[in-house]
Amino acid sequence: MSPSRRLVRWALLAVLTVPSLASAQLYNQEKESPRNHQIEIKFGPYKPSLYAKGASNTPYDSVFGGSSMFIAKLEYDYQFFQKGGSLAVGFEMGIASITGDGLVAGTSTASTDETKFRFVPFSVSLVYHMDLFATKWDVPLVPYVKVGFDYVVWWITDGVGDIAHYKDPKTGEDFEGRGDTWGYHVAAGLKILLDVLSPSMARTFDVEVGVNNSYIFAEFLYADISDFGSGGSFNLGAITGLFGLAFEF
Amino acid sequence: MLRLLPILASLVLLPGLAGAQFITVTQARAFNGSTTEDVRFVTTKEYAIGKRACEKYLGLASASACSASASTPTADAGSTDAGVLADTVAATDAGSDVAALDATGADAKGGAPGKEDAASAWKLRITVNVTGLTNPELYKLGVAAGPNCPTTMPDKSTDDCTLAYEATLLGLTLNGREYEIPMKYLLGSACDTSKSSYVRFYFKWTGVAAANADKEDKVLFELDYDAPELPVIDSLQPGEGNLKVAYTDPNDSTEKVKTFGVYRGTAPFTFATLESSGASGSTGVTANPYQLTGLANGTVYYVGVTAIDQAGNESELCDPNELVTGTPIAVDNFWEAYKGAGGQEKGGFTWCFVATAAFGSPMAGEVQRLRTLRDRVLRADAGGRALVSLYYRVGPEAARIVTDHPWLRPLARTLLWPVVLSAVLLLGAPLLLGTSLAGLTLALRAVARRRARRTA
Repeated sequence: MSPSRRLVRWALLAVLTVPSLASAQLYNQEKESPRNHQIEIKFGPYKPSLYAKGASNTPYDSVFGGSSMFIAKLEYDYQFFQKGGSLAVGFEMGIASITGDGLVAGTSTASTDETKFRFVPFSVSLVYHMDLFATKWDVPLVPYVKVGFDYVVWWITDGVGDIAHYKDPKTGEDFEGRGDTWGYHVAAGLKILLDVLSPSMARTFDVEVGVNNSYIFAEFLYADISDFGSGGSFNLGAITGLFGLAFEF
Repeated sequence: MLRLLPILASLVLLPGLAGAQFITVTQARAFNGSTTEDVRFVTTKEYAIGKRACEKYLGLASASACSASASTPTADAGSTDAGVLADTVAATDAGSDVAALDATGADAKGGAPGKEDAASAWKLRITVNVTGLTNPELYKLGVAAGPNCPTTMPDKSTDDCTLAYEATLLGLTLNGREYEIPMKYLLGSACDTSKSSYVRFYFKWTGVAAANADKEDKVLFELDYDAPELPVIDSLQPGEGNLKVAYTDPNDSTEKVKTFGVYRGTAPFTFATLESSGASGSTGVTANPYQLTGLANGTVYYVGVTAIDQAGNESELCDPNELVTGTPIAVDNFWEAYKGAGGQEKGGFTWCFVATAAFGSPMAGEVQRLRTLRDRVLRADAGGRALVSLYYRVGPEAARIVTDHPWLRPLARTLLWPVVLSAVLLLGAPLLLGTSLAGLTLALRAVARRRARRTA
């Protein structure tokens, strides 16, 4: 790389960064209201690893065309420790859904019957936010990690919208297509403090509404939701990325 | 003297109702002495009457659009000519055969009912609210029906407008007053030509404040005897125990098609053979495509679609060739595809997480408390009983998971503790529950105060 191009690159970085740092500094000069809570709204694709155990082929791909589900989640964190970052306990609830075409029996041909797969995940997490960058060093970035347990209620509907049933051709036993599955997750992400874009507006938001900080964030999620490795369960876990907004108050 | 009582009462109870006058029709229904049914409501002050309803109200034989026969009278209910009757009304000034059902305050000139007023004849029963009449003031109320009634109270009936009711009233607020008008005044004597017809209400001031402008209000009845055209079936897609029919409505907006009828049978049918062929159908359909459910896979079904307009006229299925056939097929939904491919998930819920496995013994105190919760609380209502039933279906599976993974026991106990605690609070210690809630409230208030001080 030529010296002139390198200079331009550094100059560009400085132009982009310095105002943010200055704004963060300005913002932090003013006294904030106490903050103990955080709410996150996040969305993203979600493709459960349904066939890690049990199934011999990939009916998920056949029925849903290999598409990911869409998942939306709402999380509430209560920060109970705030030294060297913040430690919180988080409670989360979401919903994921996908619709596909049923297969003409015994074939891989799509029919006009719709079949839906939906689940509602609940989780409890221990959350650590490394917010020293933002609070001490005026860098508007907050990395974080989460670890916790999940409880997922799921159900599958048939072509007329009823809960699906499967009758074992050998035993005649009827299995209903709904249930719940337990699991665990770990997640890591990075939040970008939005307050630096408009410190005065952020201050007003704090004074009038009590919201100290607003973030956008991206989160990497690994979830294993298979009744802790039980061979007789769906694995509703996935490796995915979620994106969202967070408000700290 | 008795007739004066309402007037005297009104003088005492309703003084000075001066102001703007309003007349509002709140309801129009058909009534034949024993049966009351709604007339199809279109919008405020607008109703629609279709061919079948018209034929019923006039006592005419129903004429199918599939046949060339015209409507023919089957009863004598409407045999008296409305115009003659109206002339009689005008000539005698004796009111009419219209019953003002709530004649409070009225000096109605009631006459002997005509023979068409037999109890079984269909009438239009209209409920009216009138407000803002000046009291005490005399006015004349007139009710006329027909396709061509003038905007001011007519002196007598004409061919197109029957003066159905006339009375001298004292100013009152007439909320919920009902009038019954023979249907033939509105419909005429045959259901053959679509037209608009009206019921008009007139107020003509005759008292001391006769300078009051006369008031008039009308209710429109669209007499629509034309059935819309049959929709075209575009496709009939088979599914598991169902068929999805997609169709196109060829009618333009003037037909005012509101809903559709979808009919099915296992043999060809027309409207004439609907019942005998065992076919059935649903009306009021708005979905397109529409899914016919509850069908048998492998059975051939004949399907027809009709259009229904706002007056209730339905296009008729006259020819079996207008039907389309389809055969439901077996389809694997996602659950069946998964299970068929060897998936081991069995479904069912483990919400209670099998306390016995978690706490190590069925006699553990925590398990006993959960049992009590089950028996006293959950089994007390249907929702709770369903939960208990579900638990007993999936309990063994959940127990197996916890038993297979001993390291899960501490986790299961941890997760179950909130449930056990809830059981304790719900069952044995309402006082403790109250104390806890009070403590929580006080703690939250203290935190809020501290935060407020710090903010200040």
